Amino acid sequence: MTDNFINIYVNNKRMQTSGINGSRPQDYSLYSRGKKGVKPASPRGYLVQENIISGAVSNVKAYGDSAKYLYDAAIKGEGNDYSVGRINDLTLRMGSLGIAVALAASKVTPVGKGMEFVGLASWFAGMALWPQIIGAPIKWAKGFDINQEYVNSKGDRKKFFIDPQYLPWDLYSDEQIYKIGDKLGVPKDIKDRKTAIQDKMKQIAIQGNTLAMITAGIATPVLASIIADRAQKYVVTPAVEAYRISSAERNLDSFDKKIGKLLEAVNNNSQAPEAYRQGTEALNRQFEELFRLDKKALGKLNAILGAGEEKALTRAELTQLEKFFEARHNGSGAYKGIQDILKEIGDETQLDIDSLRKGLQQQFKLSDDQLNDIFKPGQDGTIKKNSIIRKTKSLITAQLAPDGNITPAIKNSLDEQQKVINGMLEQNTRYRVDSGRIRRVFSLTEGFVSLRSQVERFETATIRNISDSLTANQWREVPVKYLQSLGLSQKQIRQLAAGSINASETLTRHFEQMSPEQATKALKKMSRISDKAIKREEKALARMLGSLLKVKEATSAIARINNLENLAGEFERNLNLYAERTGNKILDTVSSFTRPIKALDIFTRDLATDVSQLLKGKNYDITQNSGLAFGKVVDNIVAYVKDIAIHRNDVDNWTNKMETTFREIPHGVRENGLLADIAELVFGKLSPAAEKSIENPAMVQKINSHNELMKKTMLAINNPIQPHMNRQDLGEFSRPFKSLATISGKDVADFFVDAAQDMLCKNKWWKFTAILGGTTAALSALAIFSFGRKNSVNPDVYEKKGGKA
Amino acid sequence: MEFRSETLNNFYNKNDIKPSSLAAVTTNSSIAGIQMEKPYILPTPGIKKDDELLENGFLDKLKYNIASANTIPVYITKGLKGDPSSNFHEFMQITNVPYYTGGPVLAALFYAGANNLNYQGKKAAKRVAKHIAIGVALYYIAAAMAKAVIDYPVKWLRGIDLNQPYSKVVESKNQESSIGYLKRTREYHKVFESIDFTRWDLLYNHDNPDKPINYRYDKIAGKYGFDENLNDSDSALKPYIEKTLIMSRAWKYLLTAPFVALGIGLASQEAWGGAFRNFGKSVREIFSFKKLPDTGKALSIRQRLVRTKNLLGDNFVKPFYNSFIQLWKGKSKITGAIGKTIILASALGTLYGNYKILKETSARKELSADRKNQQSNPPGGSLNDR
Repeated sequence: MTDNFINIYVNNKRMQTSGINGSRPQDYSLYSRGKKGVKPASPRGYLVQENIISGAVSNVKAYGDSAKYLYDAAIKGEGNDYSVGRINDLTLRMGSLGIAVALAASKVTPVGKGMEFVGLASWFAGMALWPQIIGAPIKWAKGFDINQEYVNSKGDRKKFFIDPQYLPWDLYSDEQIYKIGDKLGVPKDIKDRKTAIQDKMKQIAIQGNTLAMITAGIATPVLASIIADRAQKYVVTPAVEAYRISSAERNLDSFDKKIGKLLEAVNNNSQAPEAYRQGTEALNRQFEELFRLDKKALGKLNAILGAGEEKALTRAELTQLEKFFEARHNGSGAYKGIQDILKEIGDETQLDIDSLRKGLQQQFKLSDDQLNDIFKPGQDGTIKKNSIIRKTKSLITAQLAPDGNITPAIKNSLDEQQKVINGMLEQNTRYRVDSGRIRRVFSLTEGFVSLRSQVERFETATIRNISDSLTANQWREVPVKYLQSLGLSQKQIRQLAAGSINASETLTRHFEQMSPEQATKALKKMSRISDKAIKREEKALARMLGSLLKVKEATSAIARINNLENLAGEFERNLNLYAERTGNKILDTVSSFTRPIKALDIFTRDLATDVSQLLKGKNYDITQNSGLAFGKVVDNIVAYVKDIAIHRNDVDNWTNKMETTFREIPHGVRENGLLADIAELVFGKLSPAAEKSIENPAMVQKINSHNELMKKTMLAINNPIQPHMNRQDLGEFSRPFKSLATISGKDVADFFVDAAQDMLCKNKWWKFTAILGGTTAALSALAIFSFGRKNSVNPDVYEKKGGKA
Repeated sequence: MEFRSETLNNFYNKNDIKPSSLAAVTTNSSIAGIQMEKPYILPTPGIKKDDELLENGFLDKLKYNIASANTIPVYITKGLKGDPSSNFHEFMQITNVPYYTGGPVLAALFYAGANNLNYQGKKAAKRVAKHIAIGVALYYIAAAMAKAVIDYPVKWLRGIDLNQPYSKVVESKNQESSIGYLKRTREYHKVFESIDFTRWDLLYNHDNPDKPINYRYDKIAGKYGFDENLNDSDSALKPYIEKTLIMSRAWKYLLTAPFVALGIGLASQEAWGGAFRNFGKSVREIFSFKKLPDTGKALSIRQRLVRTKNLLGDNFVKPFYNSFIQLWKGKSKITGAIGKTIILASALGTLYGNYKILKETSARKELSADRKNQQSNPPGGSLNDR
């Protein structure tokens, strides 16, 4: 009987819910359908105990569950509060990924793009970390985890303390509770200790969750920013740089191999002149394998040149040809050679006799005999334009003025006809062009541009001044590292950041009062940093120049083999310029990085002795005629040299011969000997003390030889405005100042100004973040310390065992 | 902090009611062996005994939202003390704090390094921070839009206001009081906020004797495709409404993803670079009464309106419209593809979501199938018999 009723009940329930929602499995999970009897199912809930790995695994599994819940709810319309609530986790992350993609699309550099995703990850890391950061001290002090999770019988995973009005205490065993109670300091001799401990845990959990929630708004962005910043500095930027350099090197390696093969073939060909003609074609084909020829452009060229080996172009077609090459190759570096070759075409003309004959016949109504006469070849067998014009003109004159009387009207008419004749000649002039040769010019120039751009790709990753290149990264890091090694105070850094003038004073004063130990440490650090940086750039430069040289040899050899000497010359000139420009850039970097080292050396050595040694016995204006004692002059010059080293050691000042430096010499140093001595003081070898500090003889050698080069360069500057200042003894070796601007490097003061501004921004940012984050953390720590205490809503009134109040 | 009110003190003093055993009151009234006196429920003025359905006009909802927001400091204080009467609703209200403060703090961090000694850096930081701030604002707007594009169609086409508010009376125990009275507070909830525990009871009509008890359900039933005159529209409707709730919530979450990407994608376009320059100054000028130097008079109303129109156009309307176009076109093929994907995902997702919800929750096809069955074999009378 009972069975029947139960079956009817179950069947009715099934019918009722068979409508729109179908059967709802979750309602039946605890029932066994079809089984007789209603036995209560045993509970299957448990507290979650996971380590990092199983935590990560269940995290991944949770995403899978969320996806299933999403499908059930959005497409089928099935779910409950828990399953639909879980969808939010998944869609939140999907949305954030969408944001990262949208932001990365608008970033240009690979580091920028990568950082958007690092930012996404660090935001979620911050969101996950902060509750753990709050929970960890609570666990340590109070003995339980407020972020404890549990799984209920249905399989739902929830946070234990999320709803204080529903705490499934049966998941904690009694011993666990009592152990926590001991840590909490709940007195042992009270009635119902278990409930009291549970209430205390509840209080602490509510307090902890509230604190985590109200501080999360500040803590999450701060944590995320810090994580992202450190990740950018230590992970993303080095990784992107290493990847770009290594892939650029790999590309260059395979490129080198291919060009090497071509060069080998070229050499072999030059040593076997018998198979000459054959070799050229094969070499050309091999050359064209090195790059991809633009078929569309070639088609356009062939449309002008036709298919054959030769063509007679009209004036219009010749102009088309010139325009084609201008559009395509102007700016490639070889355009001048192409222009020369095209000009040669203009030299070889021929007349289209038939068409001209017809034209003249039509225009001037000449008879066949007259035309034959006009077009009779001259003594050398050719038909000259001038003779045609002369003969035609005389015929027309005879037509117009049969009686020989040339009135002004007739003269005008003759001039008109002259123009017509010239026009006809122009129209019928054909320019003979060797199509094959022009095609060769086109493909060679295309090849030259393409091969050079492959080397440029390597330059882009390494030594070009663009974002995320090796150079850019080094220029961002090295000045800051130098500044840090000098041991300046915050106040001094702020003075440096204010600008060049303040910077010079600050630096001078700091260098003056540096102790020998500080100086030693600073010199050692700076030289170590610059050694590493310079080595990397020089290595990249060497690599690049190696390939560039191969490109130069290959392209000019192929051009010469094809009898295009002009083009070969242009290729070589262009690549030489490229190499020199790049080399100068490296010199710029080396100069800028080594100058502060030399400047510090100037300040920490015994400059007075050096100066007096140099100036003793020499007959300079400043020493003999200033009216001051020698010692005072020496001191003045010491001060000037230091001044120069800090902020007057640039192209401008060497051009105007230090006219703003020496008070006693207001119009620039005119005595060559004195100038040379000053240069020796500024650019001379490092002192023995500095050498000992640096501990790296190779680096010392590098610095000294670089300074020697700079000395010669700066002394040789030619001042076009005041030529009497120039050194007459150098003659043709003196150089104009403009070309030196690229290699003179950054002045010491300016070098540090940028670094100081950078550091200042960084410091200010860290200060803000530290205040924000630190205050939050401190207040949180303070709050956590007071969790669990008695207060107005938790009076902690316990009744002792035995009934006493 | 003690909880006492003047009224209470006066009350006690006036009527000279002595508190009974203090020790009887603990956090948990389940201590065995102690007889608890029935707690005295003090009527709190203004709060009825029961939960009640509230008006759902736009301004009303705004009023309730503000009232909810005002409770957050109270909930925070309760939470920090560890008040045992804290509940899940309070915790959920507190989660609004980090949601709305996180964005502005993030934007502020981008400006944090700016200082006057690095003017270029400061200008750059200002530009970036402004962009981030615009992004944060558009994020919040987009997240709200993702909900609105589901709420409104469901309201119009199914008659369900998913944000229908009701006020819930919560009686919170207060341990400080000597006799343990229960203080009543009001919480603002939504009728349809839970799927498992929907407040069906609030939709029945117990107050207005002129209308039938099911009149709200009857109105909704028509929109679902039922006959207007169902005998028991509530039990017919409940499974349908439940399905509507599940799907709407799921689609609101799902649409948040492309919408926030759209919001941020729009904010990262250059169209916003020219916006909000001297915004504060312009606003101040619109409201100022200073006389202009060239005309000698203050701004006229018409001039102020024109300025306001220009201000809104230049800083909100034009950049918004232009950023849409820029996002669609993109700067390259890839960025254009990404932009188009985001815009289309939002638009098509909205349309498909609404279509799916309407299709799956329609009673028409079930009814027509039902009707066919019933016409041949009605179980206890057809629906049309009344």
